Amino acid sequence: MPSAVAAKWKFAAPPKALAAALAEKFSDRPERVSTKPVDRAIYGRDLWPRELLRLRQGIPPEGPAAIVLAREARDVSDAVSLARELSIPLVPYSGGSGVCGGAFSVADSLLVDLKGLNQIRRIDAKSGLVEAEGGVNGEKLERELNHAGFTLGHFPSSIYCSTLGGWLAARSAGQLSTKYGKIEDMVVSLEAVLPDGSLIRTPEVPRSSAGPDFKQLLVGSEGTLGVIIAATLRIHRYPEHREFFSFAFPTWDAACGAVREVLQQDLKPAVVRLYDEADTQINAAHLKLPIKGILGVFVSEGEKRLTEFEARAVGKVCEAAGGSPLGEAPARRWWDHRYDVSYNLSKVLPNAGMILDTMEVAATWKNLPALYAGVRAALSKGSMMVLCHLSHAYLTGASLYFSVVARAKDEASVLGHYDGLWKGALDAALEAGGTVSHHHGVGRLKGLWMVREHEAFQELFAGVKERLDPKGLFNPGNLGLGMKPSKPVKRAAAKKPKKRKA
Amino acid sequence: MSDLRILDDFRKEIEYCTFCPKMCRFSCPVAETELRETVTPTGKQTIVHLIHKGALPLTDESVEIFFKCTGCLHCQEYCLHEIDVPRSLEAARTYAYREGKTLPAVFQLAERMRRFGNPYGRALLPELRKLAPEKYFQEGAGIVLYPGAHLIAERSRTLRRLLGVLAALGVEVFLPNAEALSAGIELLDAGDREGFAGHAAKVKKMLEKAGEVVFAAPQDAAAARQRYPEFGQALGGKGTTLPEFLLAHLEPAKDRLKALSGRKVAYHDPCSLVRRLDVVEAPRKILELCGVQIVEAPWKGRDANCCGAGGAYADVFPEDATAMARKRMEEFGSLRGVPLVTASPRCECHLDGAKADEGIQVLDVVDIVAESLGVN
Repeated sequence: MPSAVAAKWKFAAPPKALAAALAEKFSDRPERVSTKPVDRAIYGRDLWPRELLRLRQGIPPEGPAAIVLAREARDVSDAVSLARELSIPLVPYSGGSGVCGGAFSVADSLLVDLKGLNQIRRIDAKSGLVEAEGGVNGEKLERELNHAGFTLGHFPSSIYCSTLGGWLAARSAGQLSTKYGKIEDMVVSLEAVLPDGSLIRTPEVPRSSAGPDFKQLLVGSEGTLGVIIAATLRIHRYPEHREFFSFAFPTWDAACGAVREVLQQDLKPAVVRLYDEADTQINAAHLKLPIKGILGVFVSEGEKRLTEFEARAVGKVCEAAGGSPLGEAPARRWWDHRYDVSYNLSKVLPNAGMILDTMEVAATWKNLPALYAGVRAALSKGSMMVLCHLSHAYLTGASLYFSVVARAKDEASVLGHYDGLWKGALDAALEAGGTVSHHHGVGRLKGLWMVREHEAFQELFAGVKERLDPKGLFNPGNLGLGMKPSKPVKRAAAKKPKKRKA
Repeated sequence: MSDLRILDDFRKEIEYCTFCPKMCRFSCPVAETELRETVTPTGKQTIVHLIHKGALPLTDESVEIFFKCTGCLHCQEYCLHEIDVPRSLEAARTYAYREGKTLPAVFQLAERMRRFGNPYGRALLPELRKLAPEKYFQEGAGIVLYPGAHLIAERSRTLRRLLGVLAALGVEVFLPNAEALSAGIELLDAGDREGFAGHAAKVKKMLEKAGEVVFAAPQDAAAARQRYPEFGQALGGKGTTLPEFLLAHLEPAKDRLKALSGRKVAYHDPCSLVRRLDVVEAPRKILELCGVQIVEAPWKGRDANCCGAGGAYADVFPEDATAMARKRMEEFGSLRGVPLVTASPRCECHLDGAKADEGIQVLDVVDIVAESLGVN
């Protein structure tokens, strides 16, 4: 059944004070401000599937009241000072590709679109750095680097639609992170506009012990503490060679054990992925291969001899864990289709009653089995299909990425069904000693669970927020700020150790 | 039919894009030039979806969104579902046109097309007849070279050179002899489907006796090959592109080409040629036969970025289309002393008109061949 939108959307005129202030502040560049209904209809949401379900139901977005199309840092500073003067919420927006409602516009808010700040300012081949503005599209940045003989090494499946600023704001991770690290490992320096309108820039040094690393305060702050304008990141020489290899493991535990061993032997293949039995069968159908058990795909890249050595070493570990070699094909197919998962939304979401979402959680190797079992069981309660793959691996643990397809009993109950699925799964993640977000961020979706996850540290964060943004104008509603946990955290890791006998 | 039902045929395309996580956004030249969420393919299709569903009214602002497309089809390169966004937007433009609510610049474009058979708003046949001797206008069953409006109106020197090149190669061609010197895609760009149907019938009649038709403009070739059949005006398999035709005749005569050694040219892929007609290598092979070194942009072939010449975008938003052309030229690095060569008169006119530096030279592949063959 196709989607239904019936009611006419009404967009009230922006508050008079806001309209007047925008007209004055941007009098020399009026084309950088929009209050058009066509723009407000589009900018009010990011890619949080809950918002797409609301769109399917014909529910208009709450905000914004106006949009600033920033082309330079001054536009951001002016928008920030205007929001402060009028005490109106300010929403930073770039790719709008987040899936947790991190760029959700509340009513009467002022949205700042940062895509116009998209210059790649310099590539410093000697120091191995790129300096770029936050609005630059991920794929464009990577292509420019490739053209110059480099790679950033950051390949989130959203790379086509997300931006550098969004990666930093939401603490993003890419598919090749085992080798290249996550965005927080890549960033060397940040430039941001703080809620008081000041433009700050952290020092560009390879490492420092001159106190805490302040740039990391903004990485993952999802627009609540400032607007990221630009960043300097480390880059790598473009790899001369890639090795693709794949294994079938008899069980999920055996496969996870193999990956743990690979990482704990300090091997760093760029890609390490395991698919649970259900997900393996979907991969097997695509590959037209009769794969039994658990599919593991690996990619090593870099200097040819090193990657060949690494591939052999990883292969040895996998075989020792009971893995059967499947050759290059599954890994190559994964590579060729590595961004395809995002296209599935189009097939499912237009249909009434249907829900599709993804969830990424992480835990230590010790807690990983409980995390897998707990979240899988919670999601399975209200869904048609649950798939899981191990998406990122560490010396100490791993991230599990669940995909879920569900059908509510009718369209009217879709949002309740959706919320119930998430509540069960996030509770389960915490109870297993995991984190509620590995790389999608928190947004509005996981705020309450972030509060439960961080406990006392959430109060510390709220104090920082209070100091920087006393009126709470920057991206209100994000990161659990102002939320109280409804129940105490039951953490696997919180169990007291047994007393030793004397 | 003057209602929203025209959009029903594109329900799947509109809904798939509306609920897509904007996977093609970086390939859309309009989105990348205007840097505004509403003009990403997802944004545009969402506006069409909301109008289709009755949530948003048809206003000047929403109609403008239908024209935020150059028809370059780059988005399809990054769509797993192979959605044709330009076709959905064309349907929306048709709806607006039939409702009498399209934009003034678009009505004017359609009017020029209906009156003169080309987008220039003047009779071009007299200009064409001045460019070539009478023998080119004898109707027969031979090869007709369909130059297209832009070559006649703005690149007459290149057209003369083309006729000289073909003569030097011993290839006899004829020229069209009626005032329908654009294949008419501009009418579909404007949303005037009925106008396009009538125009296609005229062009077909004019080319009826031709044994073969060679289109100098890729958008004309694409219109004739891909859109005429939909309106019952198929040219019966006739219709080749100029680069393919030239290459076929140059390869046997390659010994006659003087190698332009040491010369560099930057090559811009026209969107219609590469993505609608899949002609990527022919212009490059021609340039190689002429001995020039090709400077490629990072985005090339089927992945080439649009210069902004396509669709009605340049008619409605000329400043943005100029910015798009400049952005495309910047991709090649410095073009001082390195001519920018392409294989679409429409792109050439647009790039030439948009260049910020008068030192940049915009040429056609034909100009390079003429030099290599010693044809002036």
